[in-house]
Amino acid sequence: MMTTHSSRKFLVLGLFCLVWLPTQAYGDGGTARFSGNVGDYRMTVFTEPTPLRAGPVDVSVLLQDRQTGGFVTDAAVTISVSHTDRPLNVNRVSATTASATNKLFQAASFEFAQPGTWNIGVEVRENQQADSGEFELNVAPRFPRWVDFIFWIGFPVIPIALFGVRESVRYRNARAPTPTATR
Amino acid sequence: MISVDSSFQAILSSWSFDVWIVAPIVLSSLLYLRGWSVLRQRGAQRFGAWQLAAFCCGMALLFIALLSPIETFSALMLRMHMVQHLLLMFLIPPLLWLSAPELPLLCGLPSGMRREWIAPLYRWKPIRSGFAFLTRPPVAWGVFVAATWIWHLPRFYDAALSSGILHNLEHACFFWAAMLFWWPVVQPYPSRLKYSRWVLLPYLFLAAVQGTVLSGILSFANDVIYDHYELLPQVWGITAIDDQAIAGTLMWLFGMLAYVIAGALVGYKLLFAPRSRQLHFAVADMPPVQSGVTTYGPPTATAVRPANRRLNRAKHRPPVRQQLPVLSHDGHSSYRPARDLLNVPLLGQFLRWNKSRLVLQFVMFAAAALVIVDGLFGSQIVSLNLAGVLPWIHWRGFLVLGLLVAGNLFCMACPFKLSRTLGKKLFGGRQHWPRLLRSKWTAVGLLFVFFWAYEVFSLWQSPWWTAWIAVGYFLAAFVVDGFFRGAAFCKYVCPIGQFNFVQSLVSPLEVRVRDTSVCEECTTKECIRGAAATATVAAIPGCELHLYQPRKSSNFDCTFCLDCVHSCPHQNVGILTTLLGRELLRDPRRSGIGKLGSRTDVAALVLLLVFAAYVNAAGMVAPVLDLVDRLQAQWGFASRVPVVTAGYVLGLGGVPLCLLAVASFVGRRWSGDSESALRIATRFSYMLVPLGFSMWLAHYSFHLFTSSGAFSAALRRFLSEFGFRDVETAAWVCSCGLETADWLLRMELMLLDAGLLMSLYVGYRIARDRYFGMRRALGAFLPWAGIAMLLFLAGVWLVFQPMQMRGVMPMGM
Repeated sequence: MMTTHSSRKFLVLGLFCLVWLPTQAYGDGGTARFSGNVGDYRMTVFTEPTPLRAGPVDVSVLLQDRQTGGFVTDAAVTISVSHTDRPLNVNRVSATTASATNKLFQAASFEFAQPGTWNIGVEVRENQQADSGEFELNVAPRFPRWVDFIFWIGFPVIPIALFGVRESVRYRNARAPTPTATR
Repeated sequence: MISVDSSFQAILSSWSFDVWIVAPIVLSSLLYLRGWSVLRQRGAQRFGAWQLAAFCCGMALLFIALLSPIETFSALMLRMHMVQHLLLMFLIPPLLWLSAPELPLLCGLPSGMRREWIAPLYRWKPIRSGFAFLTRPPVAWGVFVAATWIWHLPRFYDAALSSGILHNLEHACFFWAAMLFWWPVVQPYPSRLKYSRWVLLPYLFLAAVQGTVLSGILSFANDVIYDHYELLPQVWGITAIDDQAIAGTLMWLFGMLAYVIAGALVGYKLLFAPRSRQLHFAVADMPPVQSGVTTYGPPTATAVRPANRRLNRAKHRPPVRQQLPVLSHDGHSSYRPARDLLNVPLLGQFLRWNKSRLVLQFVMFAAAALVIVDGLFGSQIVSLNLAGVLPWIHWRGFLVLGLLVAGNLFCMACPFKLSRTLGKKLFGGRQHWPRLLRSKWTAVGLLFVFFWAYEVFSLWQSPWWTAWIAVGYFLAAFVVDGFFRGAAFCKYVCPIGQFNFVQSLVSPLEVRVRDTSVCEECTTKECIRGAAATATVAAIPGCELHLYQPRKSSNFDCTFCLDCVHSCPHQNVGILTTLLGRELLRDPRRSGIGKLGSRTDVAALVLLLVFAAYVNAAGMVAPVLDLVDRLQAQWGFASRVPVVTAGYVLGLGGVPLCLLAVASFVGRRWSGDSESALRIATRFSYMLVPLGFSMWLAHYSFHLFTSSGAFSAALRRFLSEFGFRDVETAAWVCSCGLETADWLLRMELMLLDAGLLMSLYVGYRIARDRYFGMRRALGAFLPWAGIAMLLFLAGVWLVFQPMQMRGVMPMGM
């Protein structure tokens, strides 16, 4: 019994600790939006989430040597984003491997405040040489915020359904005749 | 460019983390470990160390498949994605089945959950029949093959790679289809054999054939099948088509290996192993069952089936009412005595000290004094004044948190007790409280006025008025208890106290007797009469709220003063743990209160506080504020007072009354109840307490967590202004509210979820106890469940609205 109670405490403690673990949200790829040669590099740019919607967006860059195909992670990568309606309002962030789950990537997070067409620019600097590439992205309107929390809103349905089944079973068992034979 | 070593290092460090994957893995592992150790202790030698190892390996591989660099690189390389799927389909499920997880997982659950929740579902025929159907070899094979082929169609495969949700769904389909597929092959204990195992040879062979076909398509296709990989750059010089071919080869190789090994083992057992009765012998080792239902037990002669019997033609039905012994009442009682806070080291000693309450009261008195001084004489910038910050942000937040984790802690530490005591000393406090006012109606009226005034006069925006409210409180407590005996102020007047009494109905701690048999023999009854002074100890009063401990039930009207604890000569009163909301389920005759179901005034108090939780929050959200401004302009009022007043009358009066009337009348009709609608409404009102409390909790904790830093700025300003010390002026420029983080929104929604579930459960139990028959009970319950749902949805809507950050400046200002 002591072991049962001790293990129960351990179980509860373990569960409690899990509740406080954060969900990491690092850039780790997503959908490839651009892949092409930029200077001495082969650059592939990914965005997440998919489909792309206004709100928080992760932009990840995979750099490879154009000749050998080897990975490049020590170049300084700067990502700049701006809406086509506001070309002067540029948000420029340095991408890092620390921000990416896939450590071969370099990633940065942005807030795409509004839907529409966005200009994405990627500048690569290595050994005092700079190369850059640009492309456009179409961003769909954002879902209402509550959509992101639909699980938490709808969660009560699960225990209610389970409880309903449980009560139904107990009610039927209470009314059913007692079995008289074993097999 | 990085070197090969560095790139491998980067790959190996590319682990992801997802709490929704880690939590089930850890939980399952803990449950299995617990159940396994319990079974071993009970002597079930069947569960050896290798089974534990198999389960742990399975879980570890699941962790690796879903969170290691395999998952990270699956979007870059089809071959890596294939490795992930092979783990999910060919390695993890057999390991998990080999660990015979059914009994350990069941034993690992808390016994109450196992008996009350799992057992009924386990015995539910559709579930048992459904599982039996799905694990029949043709069905399991079909599900496995369908899942494999459908998800490998280009449209679905690419869609899964583009969407996280679909990707998770794909993995879930692969995993669970594979679990079904491997179940007949492994036949984990304690399942029974329902068909000849010779079936498994063509079963595995045909699975191998379809796997070969699919892998052949991947390996020998001339084009890249999946667009996602076609768009990606080459990794390590491998083209997309070569990557696809490697993936197909891996699929064939590992798939065939799994099928061949499984087929060889099945064949070996069929041909060479002795005819096994291990299943029955093992069942005979299981602990005895005390219930009357049939169980797995030592077989009779008729129960043993010949091994070469015909294939199941759906004529076999599981024995009637068979269940696993672990699901029955196995004699291990789940009763655990309540824990007593007074037995906690240090804390218990402090609470037993008869001056403990005085110490807490002086601390709160000091805080109240600071609020009054700063409110009256300090700078009137609300976000930088202690009177603008402490009461409306910190005190309210800690108040509800204290109610959630403990109980009526504020009443225990109430600073107004000091003025009550002073009043009694000066004026005697001998009068009886007027009989006409011996109800909660006075408190209901005062609370309505307070909530209305708070909004109409924007009390939160005026440190000066806040200070005067605190002063008024001290004066009121001084006057009321100076003239009237007992704790008349607490019991009949104090709005804060009424709030605490109602919300503490769902608190986890309760002041109550430890052993009722001790009270039966007690003749002196110091708990209510008080203890006389002795040579060493001063006189201790009895309960001033007239709560006689042996008949006290719940925290209602209990101020946690602990006079009963200190005065009881048998030390039979403690602060004991209780099940949240337990007191709402029952309606005994309670000392000093009577039956809650008969107290319309208490029900009105409950309803006012429940609806005030939503109205109070609504008054701070942008859409409602806009509506008030629009109506004010539309109706041509100079101030917002008429509109806000109308809103409060509607929100705290009209709407609740309408909803209650409808629910009572409809419930009365559907249940065939002959009692008055008022009586029905009174009883069912208490089911809304958890939901109301959850809304208060969500709202006040939101302000506390987003604005708690304002205290530092206000304190620095106070210390600087009143010359106590030199402070850096730049440090207190910002008394800012933080942006709403996602975790805070999740927490608010979880609180609302918990409140809704508890309210629904309480309402259901009230209905079941009140009415005979499920139909009548549901008829009475459903209208009230509808009110609970409406309140829940209103709460959800409120937490998503931009909220006025009262008492602080928004970020960026």
